[in-house]
Amino acid sequence: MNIYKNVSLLKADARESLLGNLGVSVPSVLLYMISVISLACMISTFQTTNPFFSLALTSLSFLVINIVSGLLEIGLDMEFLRFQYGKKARVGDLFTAFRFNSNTCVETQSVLGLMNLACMMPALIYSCFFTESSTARYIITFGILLGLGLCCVFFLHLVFALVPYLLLDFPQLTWKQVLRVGVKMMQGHKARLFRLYLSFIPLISLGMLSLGFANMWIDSYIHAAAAAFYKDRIANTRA
Amino acid sequence: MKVYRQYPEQNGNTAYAPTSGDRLARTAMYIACLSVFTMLLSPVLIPYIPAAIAITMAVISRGKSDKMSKRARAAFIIGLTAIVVSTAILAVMIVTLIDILHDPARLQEFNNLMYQMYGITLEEFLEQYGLHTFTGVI
Repeated sequence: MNIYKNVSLLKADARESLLGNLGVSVPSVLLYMISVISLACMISTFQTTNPFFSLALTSLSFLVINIVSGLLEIGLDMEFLRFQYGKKARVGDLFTAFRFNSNTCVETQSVLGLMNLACMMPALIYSCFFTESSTARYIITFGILLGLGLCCVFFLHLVFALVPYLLLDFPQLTWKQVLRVGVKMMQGHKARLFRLYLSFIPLISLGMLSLGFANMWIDSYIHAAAAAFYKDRIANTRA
Repeated sequence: MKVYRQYPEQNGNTAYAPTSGDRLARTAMYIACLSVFTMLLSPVLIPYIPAAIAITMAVISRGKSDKMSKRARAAFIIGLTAIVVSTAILAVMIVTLIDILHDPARLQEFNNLMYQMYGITLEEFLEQYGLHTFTGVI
């Protein structure tokens, strides 16, 4: 019979793995945040007179940014996974996916990026084709479409949460196998991971209050908890 | 010789060796003190940054143990107090400003004081941001 750890035990594992390793995890998270934010700023720069051209450019940049940030996230997840198993990591490990098993990582992240793009497409189409951006109706509609898109992206994140770890642990698998195994391993565990993320809401609010400065420590904690979740899940998987 | 500052493998004494959690709790304590210091200098927004970092560090320093260490608990309480006090000061400042804007006599007094200090009245300052007193905007 499988015995899974509850949220508080997973968080305790996460805290324990971070002790003595914050000197690596905090700069890594900072580097990751700077990279992702500077890449994300590029999305808003494509506003041409032709809406179709704007949509095509925005979609392409969204996809590329998703792939690159996904590759960086694999490196970040690797660091926290190493901490979880009591091993040391370096800040340079953030770029692991660019050096190790790159083909499978890019293919997997491309598929995940396309799924994220499909979720955000209604909001992107609306922002490219409807330009009266100062009206309240535009803002409300765009807000609703964006909110729905982000909810779908979060659900996809829950479904494919273990994919980065599987890419690192099983480099012999193809992208199709990684996605299939990832989805299968999350069956019946999405609610548990959702509860784990939900338990970080007070700390995330605190991070917002600090204008994002405390997020370097809070994100480390969240990533460590996600790595603890994977460790717990893989320990209870039959060979 | 400060034995307690050495690691177990250096002196063979495990009783006084500070763990990573202890070191993190101590750092959290220093940052929490910094939040109190910044609160005295500038109560608006700045104390939130070290206070939030101190609270997060204090939480992480717990590791697997059920309770926080004394230092971590102190850092947590000081950080939380800094946030609560800063929020209270900010709220009082906003309420006082709104009261001044709705009382012509106090507004005139405040205008004179601000003009003497900065060479600009409150109404002129607000107009720079497109805000007007007595127009329902504030």
